[in-house]
Amino acid sequence: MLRDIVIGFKLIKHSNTRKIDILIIALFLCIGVIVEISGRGLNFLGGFYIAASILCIYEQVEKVAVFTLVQSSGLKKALQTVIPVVTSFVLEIFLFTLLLIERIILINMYPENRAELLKSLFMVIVILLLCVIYSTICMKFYVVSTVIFVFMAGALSAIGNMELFRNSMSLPLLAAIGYITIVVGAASQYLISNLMYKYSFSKFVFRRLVK
Amino acid sequence: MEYTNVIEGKGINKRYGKFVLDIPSLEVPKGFATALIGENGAGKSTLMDILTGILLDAKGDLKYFGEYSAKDRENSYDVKNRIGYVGSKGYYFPQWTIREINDINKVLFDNYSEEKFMRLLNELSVFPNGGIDLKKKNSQLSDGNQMKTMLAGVFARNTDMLILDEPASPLDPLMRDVLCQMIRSYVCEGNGDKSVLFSTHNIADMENVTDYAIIIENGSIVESGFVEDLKEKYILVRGDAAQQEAISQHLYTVTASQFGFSGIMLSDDLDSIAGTGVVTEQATLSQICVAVMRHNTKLDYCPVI
Repeated sequence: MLRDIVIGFKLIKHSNTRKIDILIIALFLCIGVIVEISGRGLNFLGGFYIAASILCIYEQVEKVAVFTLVQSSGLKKALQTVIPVVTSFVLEIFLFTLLLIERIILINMYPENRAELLKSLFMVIVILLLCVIYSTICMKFYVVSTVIFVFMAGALSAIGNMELFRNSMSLPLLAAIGYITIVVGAASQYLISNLMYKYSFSKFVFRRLVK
Repeated sequence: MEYTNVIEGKGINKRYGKFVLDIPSLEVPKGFATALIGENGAGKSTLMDILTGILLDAKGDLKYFGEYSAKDRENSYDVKNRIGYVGSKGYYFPQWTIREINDINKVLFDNYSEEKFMRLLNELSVFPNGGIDLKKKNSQLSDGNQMKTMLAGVFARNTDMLILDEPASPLDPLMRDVLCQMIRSYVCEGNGDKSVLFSTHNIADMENVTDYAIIIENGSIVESGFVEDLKEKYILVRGDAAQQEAISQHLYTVTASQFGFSGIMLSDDLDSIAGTGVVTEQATLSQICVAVMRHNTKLDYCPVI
């Protein structure tokens, strides 16, 4: 598996849209970090942009698999299942840990914002889950999955039971929920990617890459 | 003739809207060059995509090299490493340079030889002025040179089978001849272990390299067999208008003009036309294929008299 991952990353540098994708990833990360810092962690959009950058990295791996030369190779399945799952899992753990550390610091600095900080972290967890599920489906069913993703991301604002975060939710509990969600998300992603494997790439994605 | 199959298929079925590819049984003999012949939209590329694992949502059972299933093909590197594939659509990124194409092949396939790839690029004159421009993008090459680059990539690997989708279409007649030689050398050097399956419209150009033919029409295999057997099964007849009338019920297909007619019929029916005075000749594979395709086509324009 490690060999597959190494090969997968060697192939990413040959992705057709790598330059624009790197720009988008950098842009999303910058926006995410700026929103996080300027909003003192109270705005979930910071986490949203950071999660979106993970989504772009995941897509980088899958985009290479679109071309029939790659599809005719033994790496086809790994590029659509194991490699993207492992990549996004590692990145999610890393970024979530960073956000968690940031929350610990912010809660110590601004204890009055504790509930809002926990809530925004919870929303980031939900966004991360949505992103991994979406990224697994979008290469095969791009239009449908994008519509559903946008709708669900929009519905995030409905998460607003502040009482829950004020009273019964603690940071360690939320951290545990976060890590468990990432593990469950990765497992779901692996399962879904295997179920989706037999379907051809979305014609929309294919046309966009081959043009 | 005794032979084994490099690929066997049972109950292959794939639906695309109104089009249905339905192949109850498929055999690709081992150690031979097999041509998959059919008109546009007959299902050749779909069948090849199914065989190479590019299309995975088709029904049916496949067996490779007498032992591997389609599941084995996807789950282990062994099968795909042994099969080289060239396809016409979306094979390389248009922006990939020759250097990148070489690097990617090197990364993807253990059995790839960089030295052989470069040598083939030279031999196939991808760059007419000699030398190799590693910075040249795939999209900057002509259709013919793009195909040559794909062929160089696949022939640079040590494989047991090649599946080539329309390799001759973008090539000039001289290069088609070179392609035939490459296929023949590949099959010969395998001593019965290397096989080629290629699809083509240019039956006449590829005839001299074809050992076995599979004719596909409207998603179904309508004829298949070794070329020698097909040439025994079908025969070409020529005659004048009066003779045509006398034997018309035995003709498989016919083309008529003011000077007479020529047609294909089954050799088994030869006794029935004895004494009519028509001339019989051995048909070429091209004539047989056109006759079989015409007999089975759904084309409206079909000049059968």
